[in-house]
Amino acid sequence: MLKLKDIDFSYDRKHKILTDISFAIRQGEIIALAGRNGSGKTTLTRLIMGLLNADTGSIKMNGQDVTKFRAADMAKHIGYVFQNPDRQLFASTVREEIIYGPTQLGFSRKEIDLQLEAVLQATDLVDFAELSPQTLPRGIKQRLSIASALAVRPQLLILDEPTTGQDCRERTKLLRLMRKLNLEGMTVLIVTHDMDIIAEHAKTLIVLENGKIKFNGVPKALFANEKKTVELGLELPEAVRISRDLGLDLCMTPANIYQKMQGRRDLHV
Amino acid sequence: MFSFAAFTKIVFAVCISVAALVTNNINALLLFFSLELLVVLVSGKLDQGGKAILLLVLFAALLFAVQMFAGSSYTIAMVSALRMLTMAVSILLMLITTKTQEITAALVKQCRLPYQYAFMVTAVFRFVPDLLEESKSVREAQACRGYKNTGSPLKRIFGYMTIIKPMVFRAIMRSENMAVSLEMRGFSESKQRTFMAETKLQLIDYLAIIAFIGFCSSIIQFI
Repeated sequence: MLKLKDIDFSYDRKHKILTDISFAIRQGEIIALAGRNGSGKTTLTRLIMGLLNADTGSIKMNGQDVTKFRAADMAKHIGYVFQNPDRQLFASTVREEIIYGPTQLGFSRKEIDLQLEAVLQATDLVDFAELSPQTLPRGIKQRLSIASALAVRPQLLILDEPTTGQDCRERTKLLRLMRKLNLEGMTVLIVTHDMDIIAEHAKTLIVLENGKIKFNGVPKALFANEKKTVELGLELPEAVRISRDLGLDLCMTPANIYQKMQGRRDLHV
Repeated sequence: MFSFAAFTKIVFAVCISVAALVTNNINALLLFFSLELLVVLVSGKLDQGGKAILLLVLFAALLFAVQMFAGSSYTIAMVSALRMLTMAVSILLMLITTKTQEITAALVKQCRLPYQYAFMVTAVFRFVPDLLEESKSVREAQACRGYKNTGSPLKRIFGYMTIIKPMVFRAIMRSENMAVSLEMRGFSESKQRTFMAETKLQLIDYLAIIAFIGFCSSIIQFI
């Protein structure tokens, strides 16, 4: 669906921020992007969105070369959710915020109404439709950011650290929403520092370090190697750590641990 | 330029601005502007100030064109444009070569301005890059949802209007946050305040101030 090949990027043509970035995102998968602060994760997502343009290399979306496309051209394919919702929201009401994208992309009035209702329902924002986004709590603002990105029916949703600063309940709601969207066929690229999210949801993990890809594969393959995980500035997810301490096979989720424990008489409480 | 104290640079900016206001001579204004460009080059700040100066030149050209269109004489239109340009560049030059803390300290210690007012002056300058950043973030958020500011120049100007409302709202929020943050860290009318920035004038500052005032006066007098 999306293919990046030999991407290099620098802000000043001198100091490279991204070097030799090549990977592909397949339709319908959840792909996680991790790495230390300043490793180039957000820069990479901004390049994909067209907010920045690569110095060299190519980006193809469904076979079409979109390397030189700008954000406004990519908007019909990609929904981008900023790390900080305050940077994303600008309209006077939640309703206006959501319909901004569809109106810019020339949806019909009927389509816009349908899309608004669907997105409000999906993100559980029906009761907030007439409120000002600026007055909402952060968790709801983040959901609104996702709603406004979803309103244009993108093929790919980019979430830049969506759970940062969220309370437990909002975090769970967000992750459920992401899962639901993915089950409905949406491809999701999530930038996160949360290893539990990666372990539980991501099919593919890409780890960046100093602007280079240091790992691209199944998360389990990385977490099985604790030394490499730590070297890349990451931590083992809780489930992996607990399953290792209990002497079980590597488990990526608490549910996995529970399943494995079923077969171990010595671990029954 | 770096070796001068902040107060000296404030005097330079004020002198040029006053001289530009007083004179109606195109040659004198051109000379002041050339001098400013020379200082930008010598101080090695072309990277920082070049783009802003270019924008100011374009704005001056627009001002000139509007005045001519409105029926003013060539001299009046040219003087207005150059006056604006000279004054704006002098302030810009002061800002890009001086730290805001030094300007605040100079305004309080040497210009005897109450700290609150001095702080307000420098806070305004500090808000300019913040506002530019805000406008960039709003434009990016709009672009991510398909907004293209294209079409005729008039349409594009109206397009920019869409970012003003959220920008003003965010600027108010930011200023409120800043006010709270300042109070929490002891911002008050108290005179017991330590300035980290060095503001003491050296011999070279006194000489430069006298020479510059003499230079501006003689240009107004003789050109």
